[in-house]
Amino acid sequence: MSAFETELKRGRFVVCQCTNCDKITWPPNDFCSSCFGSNSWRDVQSPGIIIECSGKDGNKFCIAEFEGIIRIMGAVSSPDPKPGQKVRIAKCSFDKEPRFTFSAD
Amino acid sequence: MNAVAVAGHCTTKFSAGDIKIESLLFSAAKSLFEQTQNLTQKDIDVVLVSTNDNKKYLAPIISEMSGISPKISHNIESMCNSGTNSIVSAFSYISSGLADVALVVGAERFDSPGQVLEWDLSRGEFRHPVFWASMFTKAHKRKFGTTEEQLAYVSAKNHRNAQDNPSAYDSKKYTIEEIMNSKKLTDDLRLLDCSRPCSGSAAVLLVSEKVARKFTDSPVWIRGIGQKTTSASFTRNDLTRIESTIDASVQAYSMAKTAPDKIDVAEVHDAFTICEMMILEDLGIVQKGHAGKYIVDMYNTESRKINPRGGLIGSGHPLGATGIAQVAEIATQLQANAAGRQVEGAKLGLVQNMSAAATSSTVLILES
Repeated sequence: MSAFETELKRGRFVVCQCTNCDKITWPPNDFCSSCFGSNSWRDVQSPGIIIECSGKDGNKFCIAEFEGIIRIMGAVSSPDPKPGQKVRIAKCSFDKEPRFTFSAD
Repeated sequence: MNAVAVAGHCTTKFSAGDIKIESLLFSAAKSLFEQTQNLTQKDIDVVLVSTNDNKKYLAPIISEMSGISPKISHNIESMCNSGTNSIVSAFSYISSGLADVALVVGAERFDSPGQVLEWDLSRGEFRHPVFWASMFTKAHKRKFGTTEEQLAYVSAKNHRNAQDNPSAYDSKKYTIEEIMNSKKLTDDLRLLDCSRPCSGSAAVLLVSEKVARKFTDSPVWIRGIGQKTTSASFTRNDLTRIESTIDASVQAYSMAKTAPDKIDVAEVHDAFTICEMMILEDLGIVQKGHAGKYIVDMYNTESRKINPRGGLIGSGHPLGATGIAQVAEIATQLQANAAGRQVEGAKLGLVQNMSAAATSSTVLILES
C-alpha cells in the first residue's frame, strides 16, 4: 500500500511534492514526474474549487481542484453544487478505492 | 517507407456470450482466412493480438491454433484503443520492411477487466466510465447548450444504422422518446446514452504494396496515422475538448495530406453519446459546439457518414476488437461492399479510437 493510501485510511488527504524541484506529482507517486527526484508527503491545502459536477440517485458528485493542480472526484454534500464553488474535504478514507466527501466552504 | 494496405478483414457477431477468449480470437482468424483469396498460413509474417483479457501468450496460442509460425507474434493492450494500436504496430512492421503480411486479431469478453483503470486514484470511488462521461456531458451542456434531446439523436442514429450491420450486438431501433425515457444512470446520462461491453472479435490483414494484389483486387491504403496520449488519469484533462484526438487528427491529416472536409465516411469512438459529439468537433468535421445540430440533421436526412455500422452504441463494445472492427467497416465502405449501410461514393475514410476517458487517441485515414 502506498503512503497516499495509508494516510487516506487514517483520514488524511496528502499529496507528494518533490524535495528537489518542489513540483507536485498527481496522481501520487514516490518520485517526481518532472525531475525524478524523491517526493515527500504533506497535507493538501483547502479550500479547493468545484470544476464540474453531476449526480446519481439524488446524491451529488464532482471533480474538485486543490492547489490549482490536484483534481479528485468525490461526493459533495451541497444540494446544488456549481463550478467555481469553494469546497473543503469533509471526509476521506480508503477501502480498496479512495473515497472523498467535499463540503461547501 | 513502404505503403501498407488492408487486404482482408472480418468481424464476428457480437453477443453477450460466455465464450473463451481463445475461441473468439480463433473465430475471427478463421473467417479472415476463409474470406481472403490466396491466403495461406505460410504467408503470415506477423500475428498481433489485441485484447485486455488477462490470459497470457495469446498471440502465439492463436498462431498455433491457426497453423501459423510467424516471425513476430505478441499481444497489445491499451484498453479501449488496443485495436488501433495493434494496427499501427502492424503498419510499422510492414512499412519498415521487417514484414510483408500481418494478421491483426482483436477480441474481448463481455466481462473484460479493461473497463476500469484501477491505477487512476484521482477518480476516487467514481471509477466506472459512466462517471467521467457524465462530467464530459455536463461540461458540454454548460458551455455549448447541448441538450438531452440532441444526445438522444446520437443513440437513435447509431442504433438505426446498426440494423443493417449483421455483426451488431443490439439491432433494435429506438425512438428519441424511448432513449430519453430509458433508465437514468446519472443526472446527465441514461442507459441508452451508453455503449455496452460484449463478447466479439474482428481481424484485419495488413500487407505491403509488393504483395497486396495477391490477396485482394481492391486494397484499401492506410494513408495517415496519428496517435497521442495526454495522460493516464482522467481528471487533469479539459472536459469540453479531447486533446488527444485533436493532436492525433492533426498528425493523421498531415501524413495523409488531407483535411476534415475531404472525409467521406468515419467510424468514431462513441462510447457514450457525448463522445461522438466531442469527437466530431475535435476532428474538425464540425465546428466546436455545433455537433448537436449536425447529428440531428444527419438523423433526419438518414446520412450514414458517421458510424455507418452503428458505432459502439449500436454495435456493442468488445474493447480489444473495437478498433479493428472500425477499420474493417471503413475498409468495407471504401470497397463499396457495405450493402444496405453503404455510403455512396466513399473514397476517403477515417477511424477514431480512444481509451481511458479519452486520455489516448488513435486516428487513421484510409483510402480506396
